[in-house]
Amino acid sequence: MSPLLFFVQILVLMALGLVVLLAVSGITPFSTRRANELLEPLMDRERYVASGLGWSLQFWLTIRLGAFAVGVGIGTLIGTPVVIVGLGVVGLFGVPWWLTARAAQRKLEMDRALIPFMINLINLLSQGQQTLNHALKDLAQNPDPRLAYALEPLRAADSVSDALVDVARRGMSPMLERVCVDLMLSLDQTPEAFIEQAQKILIPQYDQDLDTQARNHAALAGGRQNGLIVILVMGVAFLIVMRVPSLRVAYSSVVGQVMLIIDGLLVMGILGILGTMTPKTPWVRWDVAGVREQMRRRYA
Amino acid sequence: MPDLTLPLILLVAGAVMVVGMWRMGVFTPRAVVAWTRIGRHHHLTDDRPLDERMADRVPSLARFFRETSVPRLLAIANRRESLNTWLVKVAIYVLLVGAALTLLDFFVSVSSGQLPVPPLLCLLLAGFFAPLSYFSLRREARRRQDAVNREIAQSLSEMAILTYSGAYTVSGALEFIARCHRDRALLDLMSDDNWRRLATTEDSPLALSLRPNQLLSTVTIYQRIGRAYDLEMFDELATNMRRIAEKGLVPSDVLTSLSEATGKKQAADMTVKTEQARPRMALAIGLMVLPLLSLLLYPVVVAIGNAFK
Repeated sequence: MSPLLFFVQILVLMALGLVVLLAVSGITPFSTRRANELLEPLMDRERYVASGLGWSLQFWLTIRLGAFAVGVGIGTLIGTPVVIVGLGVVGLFGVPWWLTARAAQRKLEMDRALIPFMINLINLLSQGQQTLNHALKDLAQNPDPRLAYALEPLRAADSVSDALVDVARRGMSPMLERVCVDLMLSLDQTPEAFIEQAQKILIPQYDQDLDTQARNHAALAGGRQNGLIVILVMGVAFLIVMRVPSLRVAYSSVVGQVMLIIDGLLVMGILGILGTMTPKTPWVRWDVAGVREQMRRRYA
Repeated sequence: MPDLTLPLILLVAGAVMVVGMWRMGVFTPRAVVAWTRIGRHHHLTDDRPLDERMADRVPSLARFFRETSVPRLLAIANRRESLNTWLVKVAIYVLLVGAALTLLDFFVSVSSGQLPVPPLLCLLLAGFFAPLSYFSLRREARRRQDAVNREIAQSLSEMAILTYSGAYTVSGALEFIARCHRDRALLDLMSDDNWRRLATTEDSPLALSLRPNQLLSTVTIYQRIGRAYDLEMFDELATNMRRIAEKGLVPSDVLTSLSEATGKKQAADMTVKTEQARPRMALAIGLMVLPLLSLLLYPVVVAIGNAFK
């Protein structure tokens, strides 16, 4: 039998089998919902970094694209295709990687300001002249600078629960979300009950959360430092090779360019491995608007 | 050497036929068949599948069957499909990969004039997709278990607030907070009796389990969910709820203590993970030698190659 006929037979059999199996199982290969499920965490991460830097999502995405364009532009000026691609990749991933560290630091600072905020709230309520709603609005008038952006909706809010949803959306920090949820759950309680709860339950919990956040941040910073060591050593080695003409000439051929690409991929792989090895405690994300709806339904 | 294909095929077919006849009871004495029939009628025989009966005798085998059971993993991962649908899906993926590899092989053979690898090898390679699918399912189940545990562990303070005024019971508070998370893992488990997929029957060797239609207390349900789905936070909740009921403790106090204990455990786990990650990270940094050597040695290899030319 000729090999061509043999191949065709195998492929036809497989195609028939596939058609039968697809018909039996009713699989839909592509679905928009699944694509959204996959895209949502990525977009959420971009939103988190953007809010950590105090920028809007559009501005942050423009910065990312701009960094990519600048990388490609500089690469084009220098010349070789590998350098163009390499600098483009540095622009697309390197710049955000560097800025993410700053965003995480700012978020941690914001989370640190939450405990004094709660203590101030308790102090205000302890005077016995205000309800929780009024005390929250009062504190938002003159907030800690680290919390000013997030607390802005509370300043001129008609409904405190609506404002808390906006605060959580602006802050985009798991700890701030939790504080908003706790405040929302406590809105219908007496100030005395809230003070007791806050002292017994909430403040110790936030201390614990902050400790976990700090550990997460330290682990991430350690991982990032390791990544920097790898990048620096490889960068220095690359510069040395490119400055010696006898070494550089080997990389001017097509095979040399492919070797450079493989080296770049290996470095990115090592950075990826370092990223996955960095231990971190994941956080539960609250649907603060959902909490508001639940509370409203409770009294409906 | 004589061709052994035909004898081998005959041997396999014979073995299959003998096993089939054995399963159909051809070799079983008539008296035994008659007794089995009477026993089955009076519920005196053990009608469970073979793996369950074997698991009863060998506990380690029971653990192995439990851990590797695909229907259980599908239930934990909250996948709607049955075992058969999952198998069909895996078969589709294997066939797709096999078809793609064979097609590639075909195109390369047409362009180069000879077969790079035998088509059988392509199919064997595609066969590796089946264990990959299984491990992916295991991973999904593990991720969901972690998500549910985390959702409860990180919401205990909120449950304490809800139970503080006595407006909510612990189970009511758990249902409330399950609706307030962005990740719906906990809600999916608790809603529409999804938990019944695994946690309806209690494997009690003393046959003390409740009748299927008997009402269960929340504590028993949580305990069963904890055991069936391997969710330690449900076990913890059930234990603490039992303490609240038996000793008259204040729910919010118990939940606050549980939250504190869980937080400490989380911190300890994090410390252990950080310590364990250190040598692994050093190893990952050590891998940097590969691109470094490649970058420095490639020009040397090219130069030596040119010198020999």
